[in-house]
Amino acid sequence: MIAKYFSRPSTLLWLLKYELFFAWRNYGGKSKRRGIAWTLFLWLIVHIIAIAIFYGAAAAMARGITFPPKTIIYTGIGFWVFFTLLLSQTLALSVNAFFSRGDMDLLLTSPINPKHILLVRGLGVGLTAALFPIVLLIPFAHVGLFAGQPKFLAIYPAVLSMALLAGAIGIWLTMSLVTLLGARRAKTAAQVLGALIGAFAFIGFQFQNFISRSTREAMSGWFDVQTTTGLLTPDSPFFWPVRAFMGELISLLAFVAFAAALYWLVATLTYRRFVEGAQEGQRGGLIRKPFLDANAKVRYSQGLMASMSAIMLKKEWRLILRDPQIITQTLLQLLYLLPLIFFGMRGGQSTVLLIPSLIMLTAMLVGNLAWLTVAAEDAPDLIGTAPMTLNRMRIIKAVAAVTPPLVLLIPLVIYWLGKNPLHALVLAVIAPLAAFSSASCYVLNPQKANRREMAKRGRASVLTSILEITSAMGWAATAYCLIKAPLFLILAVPVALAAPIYSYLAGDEARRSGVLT
Amino acid sequence: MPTVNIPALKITNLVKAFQSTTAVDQLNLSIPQGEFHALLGPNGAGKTTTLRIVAGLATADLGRVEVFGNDVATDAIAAKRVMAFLPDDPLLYGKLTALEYLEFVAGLWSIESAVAAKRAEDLLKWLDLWSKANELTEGYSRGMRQKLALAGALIHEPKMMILDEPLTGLDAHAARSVKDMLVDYVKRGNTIVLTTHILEIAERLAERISIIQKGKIVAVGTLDELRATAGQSGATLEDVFLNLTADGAPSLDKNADQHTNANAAVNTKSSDSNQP
Repeated sequence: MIAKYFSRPSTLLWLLKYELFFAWRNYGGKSKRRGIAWTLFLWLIVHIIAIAIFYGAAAAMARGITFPPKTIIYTGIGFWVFFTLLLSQTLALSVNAFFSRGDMDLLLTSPINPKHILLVRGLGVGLTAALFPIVLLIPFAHVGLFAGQPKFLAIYPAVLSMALLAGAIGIWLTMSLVTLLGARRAKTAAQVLGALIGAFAFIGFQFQNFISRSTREAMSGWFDVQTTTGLLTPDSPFFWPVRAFMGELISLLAFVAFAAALYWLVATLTYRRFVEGAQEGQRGGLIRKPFLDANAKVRYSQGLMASMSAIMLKKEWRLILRDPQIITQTLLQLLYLLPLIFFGMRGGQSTVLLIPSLIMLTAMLVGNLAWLTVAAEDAPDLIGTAPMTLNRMRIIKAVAAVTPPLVLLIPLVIYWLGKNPLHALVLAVIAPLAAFSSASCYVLNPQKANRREMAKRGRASVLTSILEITSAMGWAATAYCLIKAPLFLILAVPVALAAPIYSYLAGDEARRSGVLT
Repeated sequence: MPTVNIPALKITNLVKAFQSTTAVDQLNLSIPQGEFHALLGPNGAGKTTTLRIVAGLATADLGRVEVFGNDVATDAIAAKRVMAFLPDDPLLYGKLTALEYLEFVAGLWSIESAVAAKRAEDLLKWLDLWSKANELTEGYSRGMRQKLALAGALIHEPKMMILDEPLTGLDAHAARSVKDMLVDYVKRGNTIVLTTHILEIAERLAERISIIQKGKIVAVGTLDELRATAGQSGATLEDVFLNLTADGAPSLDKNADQHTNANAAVNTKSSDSNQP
């Protein structure tokens, strides 16, 4: 019956079949076999862990140990925190899937109902985002079945419903952004919003550390009231998804029905906006200022700001600021750093760890930026034919990469100068060294990259990525040793210097080749 | 006034190999100042490799390339200052607007900002891109990108332009205006070295044509001289080109070298006969 339905072209299931087929073809990239092997291996490990948990729980119950009544509440809250991470992932994927995929022209010019396209693609986004929990949770269904607990097969529909729910909210948020900002701006906004939602979950965990004891106690009291007589009692619909995963039939049916209905409703309400957005996405680029009229005059920077170096820096920073991926990544790193900085400001032992952490994050951020400015240069031919030595060009590009993260550190250095001059000095000296070491991986050992493949840059050059991280860790360790254990500098400094030395030696021929990358 | 005895481009015994493949093999060519020169050849003949070495984007294994007397290997900056290179698929910065792109290119060649602003405005208006001057180039069509890259090549007023398939992707109007611009550019005493697969363009625009095959110049001269070399009086450039690049065609290296040397010191030309 299903096979017959599949064979009917242009139907929803037919489209879904192709979406899955394309996803399968793309799975694992160039090393597909290795990707599949790793996934199967991971799955095997998770199955073993699931067996251990099942038999551990069975043994505990056999001894009369019972789970506390609030277990469902904490698990349920954990589920929703995890769901925010899933949503963050969904948002990051959705704009690309809806408006950037190369086949959108073909699909929209076909006689297929656009709502079906949105439904299938949204489901694809939800499933892709939920891939990790799917791999992690499905083994529990299998182990449960063999352990005589078939109710755990409910994990299958529950995890699918979770993907549908994430897809529905992802579509709704994305289409709202498209309505507000237009398709092109929405891409940046969705990535930033996704990052913020993801970071919100993380910072949420740290929240109790920021607040005073009295506030913490007041909140704890409120929470107790809510979990006993308020909105968050164990029977609350808020916890139905978790109950669905555990095989409770009513909760499962309610969760599946709610997710499917919401998904259908969102698709029905937003598919027209999807079509408009897709059409807009294919049109021209963003207009940064109003059109120029025939009498308008062009004005360029003058004096020092018009020098060759200044123009180069300006171009690099413009491109960095207009790159949604790098903005999102930087924002995320800064957000994740907030709790650490907060502890550091309070003083105590945590400052000793904060300085190396800051140095490491600076180095990693510089690595991203140097990759963008040097390796992912869009027009190496233009740069190569300009009347400027490539060495000078590379130095300017390195400066473009190291400056923004170092500028962000200046307020912290000034702050600690009054509190702890040694810490301030270590940060002021080691952070620039770490930054230039990271940049050296691309400046001294030129390599060609594509700006659009930033997310995959680690896989493109594994050795460079390892060097970058090793160098960052080496400089972080150097900072720690300077503050706490100077004797170990003899180990930390060589590790920190390994990347620039290797890059200098390995990149000798490439630097002489006459091209930037 | 150009210095009479210095060719705009002089290539002597140029050799470039990629592993076991010799892309450019003892290539000699001299192009006088103020000439519109077309470099023709089948795919893989070594045209782009030669032009990339001239532009300073690749290094030669052997031989010498001089641009207005400046050796591109030893005095690259001086050579680059007077030329512009426009590849067949120029890569722009998608996140820059046309005006920002031109400001950047002008800055690379140290053009004074007020001059650059005026030229950018003139070029964008002339190339019909003025209304899109503040749009990010990521939304430009292929033809618009090609025109903007051409504006970038022109903004620093180079004495020599190296163009690799410059009319690719342009519509008929744009192609016509670009051709007119190139002819006008040469009339003002500048030099163009152009590769194209559209032989009609070479036939109508170029004063002299070089034909390159397997990394060597097999013939060079005006269209009539090429016809004489191929023994095909009255033939079209297409016929001559196919004859000279056919497998088993007689080696014309010696002939080509004679033409190259004979023309090396030529500075003035009877240009109108070959103009469109």
